[in-house]
Amino acid sequence: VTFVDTRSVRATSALRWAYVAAGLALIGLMSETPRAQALTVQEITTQRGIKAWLVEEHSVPLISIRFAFAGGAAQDEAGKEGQSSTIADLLLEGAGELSAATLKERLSRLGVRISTSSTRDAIYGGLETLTTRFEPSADLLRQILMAPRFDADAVERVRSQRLTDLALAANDPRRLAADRWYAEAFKGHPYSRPVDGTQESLARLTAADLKAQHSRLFARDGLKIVIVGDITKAAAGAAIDSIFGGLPENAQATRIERVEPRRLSSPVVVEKDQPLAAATFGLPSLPSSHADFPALQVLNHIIGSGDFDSRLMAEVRVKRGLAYSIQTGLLDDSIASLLLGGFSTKNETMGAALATVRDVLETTARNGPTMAEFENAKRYLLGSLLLDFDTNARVAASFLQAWIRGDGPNYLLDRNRRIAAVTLDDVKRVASTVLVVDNLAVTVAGKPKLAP
Amino acid sequence: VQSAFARCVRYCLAGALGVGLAVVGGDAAHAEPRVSTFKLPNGMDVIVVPDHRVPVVTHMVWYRAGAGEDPWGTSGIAHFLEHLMFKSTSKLKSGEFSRTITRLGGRDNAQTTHDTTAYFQRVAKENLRTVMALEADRMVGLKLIEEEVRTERDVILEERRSSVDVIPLSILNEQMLAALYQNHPYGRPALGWAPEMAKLTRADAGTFYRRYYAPNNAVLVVAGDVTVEEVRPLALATYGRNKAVPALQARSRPQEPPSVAERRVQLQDARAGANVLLRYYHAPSYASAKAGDPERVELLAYIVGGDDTSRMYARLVTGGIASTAGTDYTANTLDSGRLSFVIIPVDGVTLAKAESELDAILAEVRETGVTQEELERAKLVLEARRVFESDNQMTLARRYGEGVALGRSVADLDAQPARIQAVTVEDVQRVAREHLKKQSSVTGTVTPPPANTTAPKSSAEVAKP
Repeated sequence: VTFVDTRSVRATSALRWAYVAAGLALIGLMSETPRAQALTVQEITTQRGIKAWLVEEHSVPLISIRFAFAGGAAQDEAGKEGQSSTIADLLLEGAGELSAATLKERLSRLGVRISTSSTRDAIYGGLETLTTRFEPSADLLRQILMAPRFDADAVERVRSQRLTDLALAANDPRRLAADRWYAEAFKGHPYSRPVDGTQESLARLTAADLKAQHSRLFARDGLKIVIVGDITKAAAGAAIDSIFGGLPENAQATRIERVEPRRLSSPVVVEKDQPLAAATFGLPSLPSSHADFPALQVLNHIIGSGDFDSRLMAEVRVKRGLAYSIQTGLLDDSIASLLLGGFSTKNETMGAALATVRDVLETTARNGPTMAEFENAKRYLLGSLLLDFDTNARVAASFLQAWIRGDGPNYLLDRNRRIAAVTLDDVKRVASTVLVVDNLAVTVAGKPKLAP
Repeated sequence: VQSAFARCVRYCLAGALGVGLAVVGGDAAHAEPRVSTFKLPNGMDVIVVPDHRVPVVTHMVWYRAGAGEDPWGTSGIAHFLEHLMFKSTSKLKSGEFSRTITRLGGRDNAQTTHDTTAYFQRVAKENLRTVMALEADRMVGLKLIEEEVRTERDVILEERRSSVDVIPLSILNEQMLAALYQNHPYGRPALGWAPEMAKLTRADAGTFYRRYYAPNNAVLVVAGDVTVEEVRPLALATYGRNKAVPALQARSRPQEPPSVAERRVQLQDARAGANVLLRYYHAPSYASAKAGDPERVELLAYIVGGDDTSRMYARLVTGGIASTAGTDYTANTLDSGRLSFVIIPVDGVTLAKAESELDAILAEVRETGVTQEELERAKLVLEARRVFESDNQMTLARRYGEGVALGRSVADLDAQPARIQAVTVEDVQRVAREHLKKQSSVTGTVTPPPANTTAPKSSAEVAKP
């Protein structure tokens, strides 16, 4: 999932401290700062022909790798939803000669952090380690990717964990509204498949299904790798070859056509006996390769950054006290480009809150933002770019997303040049083409009163 | 401080393998910053944490007041005031604080726990003065406007609904804390009880503000690309102008009596998707316990249920009894801390069976302690976590800001790794014996109602085309 420039919820309770985004802000030209110089991406091609991005950063004795295989939940077989995300969980449950318990103990002793996860269109992974522990850590990662065991007891254990996770989330209105949104907006398309699967599909998965899907998707052609940290170009190339070089050359993924979300003439309701209702709303938007994408980023900040004076937050929370937070984000991957938002409110006020959202979108489509809003949004987007580039792991993750979106290794400078060139007229044009309320798809979970 | 529920969600919904970083001493030492402290003439504590890797600063102010100071009958007022701090001051219009930070390309936020209220910003180094001036202004210049107060009260009620009232585990957590603490304000939620929150007034907020928001009740942390020589004149020129509140009293809160009876809380909720067992024990906190004990409990908690290599995982998850099993230790608190256990049994295993398994695991550690091998690996993992923490400016600023606000010294905070290394297997067994006592615990369960007595609610899905 590529959430572009989505800001953290302005969370203020003890419960939400965990979501607070840490980051750093820089004003001015990044090329003039020491950090930006350190953030120079080298494109490397290894001896075995694997391409990767490398950022050398020798000031801290840590190395981070982030990588992604094209694929993900949209590649799951029909009726076997949850296949890819189950594979991601099972990678850490035994590899090669190592049982799950032995593998976990080795990882723990080395202190390496290896994680894997799946989205709708990719399977992600990461490794973080001390420089001095890099070689044995990389060797464990090689085995994890090349030779996952899918032992019967591990499959059952992970199945049971995932069924519990689904059961615990089964009555959460936010989760229900979001899941239903994808199901409705992409009805009949593989993009609608729930990443975590369903109770029925998880019950059906066998070790053979997982093995087969692993060998279809884990290949070198759909692979993108970013390495950041205390490592030289030569060592990085050798490590990549040793970790990924043994994977098959070509994945056998199904070709999936790009798709736009369906419009829904009125909200689809998932009825739940809860004291509040949650809504997910979305619109077709622009891919990041589109010339107007930077203008869309400015627009998204103005309506849905989650700042107190972003338009949705100002109208729904600050003026009316209807929600704790309301935000929008730009989601863009190989299959779909979306402007997606969500909030929760009392059942009685859902209609009023949705009417407010529609009104904000309509007004913005008609008149665009004010000059002050436009200038403030640009200043923030230009100044805060490096907020997501502080620790090595975050640098690696941010560059990987940029690469997946189709940006080049000069992403940092290119992105700010493109934002700086956006005019108020550009934003107005994008507002009138993207914020079309007739294209809205809205799902609500709870017992909402929908009349305003 | 994360709530036990948030951690529970992490256990239940995250599923990622949390393993730490094993390091040798040299690596850990490399990552530790050199921290300076001084006091302004008005009594405000200042901490400077240099990190010159990036031209950026993290700025925080921690007040030594939180939900534990909420006067009886006004639960939630500390948190409500934290929201209102983003409204008007004598110099700023409502919302202008955050708007200014955003225009500078920075981010800001705040949090309220039972023990502290904290405000923070991250900005480019050259904007530090602006941020300090803004934060110093709202320390003394807050203007509470009736209409803004009323609207924001709806927001905190909505916050409570969305973060507690819709989630059975969160409700159970709140009920268990209310049972664990019979007299101490830790038994009241930091967000407040809804009926009291609905009646919070502008006057309540103003009283709390005037009583606790003062330089002599606050800790300033500046972490990042600065030196103590740069911070001192800036602090004097901004916070230094704020007058101390002479009437400020030493913190003294209702004390929890010795716990003499084990308590049980049972929640039946149609929205509960699974049976869950939680157990909370009173435990030492870093701020109040004798030196070294919290570190011993940290190691105990890690060995028993810290990750997928723990005793609970091996016996319960690998053993096919539970899908989730783990521990958590809340120790960054002013008064008592808390040691928590969670088990989600697999289908076909009862909560009673899960509980007897937990009791057996805890009895074993009380009676025979832990092994040298377990202890050594646990030390490696905790040391490794500290290295990753020290790589992150925000986490470092939190460590020192919160620690000093809770009355600890920088030297004490920095001695933590050495104290962890000094722990012996005998120490771990001793704290297990001392603190894992049923009479100072609460056991909680959440279950769906028995199938035959439930109306078939919360299951229908209605599509409205």
